[in-house]
Amino acid sequence: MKLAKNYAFLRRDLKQIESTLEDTIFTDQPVLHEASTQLLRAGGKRLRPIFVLLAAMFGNYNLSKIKKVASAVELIHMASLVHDDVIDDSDTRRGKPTVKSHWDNQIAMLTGDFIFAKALQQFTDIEYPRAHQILSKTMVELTIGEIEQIRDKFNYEQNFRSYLRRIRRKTALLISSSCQLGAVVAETSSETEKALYNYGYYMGMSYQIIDDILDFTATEKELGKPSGSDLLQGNITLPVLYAMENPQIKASIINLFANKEQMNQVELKRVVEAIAKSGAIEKARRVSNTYLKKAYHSLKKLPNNQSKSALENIANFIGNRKI
Amino acid sequence: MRQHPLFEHYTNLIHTSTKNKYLNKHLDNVFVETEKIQALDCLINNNANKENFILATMLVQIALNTHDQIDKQMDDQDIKAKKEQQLTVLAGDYYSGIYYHILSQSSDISFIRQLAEGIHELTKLKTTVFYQAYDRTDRFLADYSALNSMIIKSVAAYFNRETHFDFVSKWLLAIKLEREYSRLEQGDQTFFHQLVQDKLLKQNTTKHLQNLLKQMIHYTKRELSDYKKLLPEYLHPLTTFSVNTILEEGLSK
Repeated sequence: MKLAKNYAFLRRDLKQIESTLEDTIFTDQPVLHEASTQLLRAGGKRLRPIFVLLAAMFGNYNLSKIKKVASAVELIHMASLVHDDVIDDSDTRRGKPTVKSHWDNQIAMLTGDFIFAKALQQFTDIEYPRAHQILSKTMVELTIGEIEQIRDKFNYEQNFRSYLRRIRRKTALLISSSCQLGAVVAETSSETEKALYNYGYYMGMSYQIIDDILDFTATEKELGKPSGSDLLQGNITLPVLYAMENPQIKASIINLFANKEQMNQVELKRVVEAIAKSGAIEKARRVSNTYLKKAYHSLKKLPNNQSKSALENIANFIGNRKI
Repeated sequence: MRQHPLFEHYTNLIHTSTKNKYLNKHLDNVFVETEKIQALDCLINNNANKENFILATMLVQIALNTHDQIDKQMDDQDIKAKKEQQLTVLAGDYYSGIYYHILSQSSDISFIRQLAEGIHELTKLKTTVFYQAYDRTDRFLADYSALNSMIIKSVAAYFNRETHFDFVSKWLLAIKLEREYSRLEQGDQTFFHQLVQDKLLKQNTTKHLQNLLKQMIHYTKRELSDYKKLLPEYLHPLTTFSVNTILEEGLSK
């Protein structure tokens, strides 16, 4: 089943969000316009806007207001991706050239800043101070998560807690904030808001762990980048942490990291295969499932409706996704 | 050297609010353009949230200046240089996030929007200026002057103080040029030096760059001298402030 089937009833609203995104990034500066449009049209699951809409359905659903929130969080996500590609020196994303490879790093930086500014311009139409406090805190935390990711690169002595703290900041908070912002702007009860925030947080944790697993299990064609790319960048993810419980695998990872500048590709391939066969993937998947169960559990407090079913189905889909 | 109390106050605030252990370990202290604090202090007179507004505006300016430091390509860099560039990207994002966070805490939503509009306009202008060819120094200077003062201009617009902004813009440019000249003499290589070389110089030597900067300073100061009699009182601190004092303080991080 396709992910979109879970929220088919949102199709018309999502179309409006898509056109809001296009309208928001419009500019008469041709390079910025082309770069932002290319990024927007490269697609993506639009998970964050979907969570905003579904969360808002538990309160006063006013699309003209909600779509501004939904498009702003997606634009902030996009701005962070375009800067991430500079950080990771990535030439492709979702199989398409990145802004930095099509133009250069400078244009990518300006495009990210431009999209960030547009997101805030859009979001300041929302006059709920708390919504701004939530989003701004999330943005600061998101960047701290990315700084920590660089700090922890190639550090094979890091522990599970530092990994979980990092993905909380890097991924889970923007998803939980998307759910929370939908609730805040739709003026739901504080219990509903809390339940939706928790759902988003647990979903975000599960989502990132699955992403880290796919780096070892999906093909280059499916990923749009070579498998083992995280390890190549020096990122220690949950499957790697579990795999390093095996002293032989740990030794080969230490050996692999010994030459960071020119990592041995044959050795990298061998390590990726060893991790995939070590049982670490299954262990990581169990952690992801634990978060998913918590996400389901958070929804129990919410009234039964179409939106709740969709949130349950999305959790189910994310937990089983192959890409 | 002891800083002017106004600059010392805001420089401390900026350093405190941008504090991050890992960034501070790997990157230089943020460079504070004190002349912009002076300009903002004149433009935002007698507002209860003045301190927050100046701090947030300076953070936006610092964030965008930080992103200017990213090299067009990173291919040939060693691991240390690469890490510094990666952290520079994130440092800029971090400072932007803090600007938003500070203003959201005081519920200054309209000022968040105003600065976002400033960032929007500045990214547009930068994209044009950085990728456009120039055949005349005065045209480059006019565009660069607009770019240099864009964020401050958005604040002036917010407080309905745009009428004499042309003067503020040239005053900021004069100080910027003096600083860049001074840095060149000290042997520093800055983003501005590279930009001027790329846009205006056929011969890539320090001497040529020095001469061109001298001409730019002379030209800007001559234009600046025409304004003095016409200025409103709130801008008088800019005319009486010594350019050299600001320069020296700006350089003593």
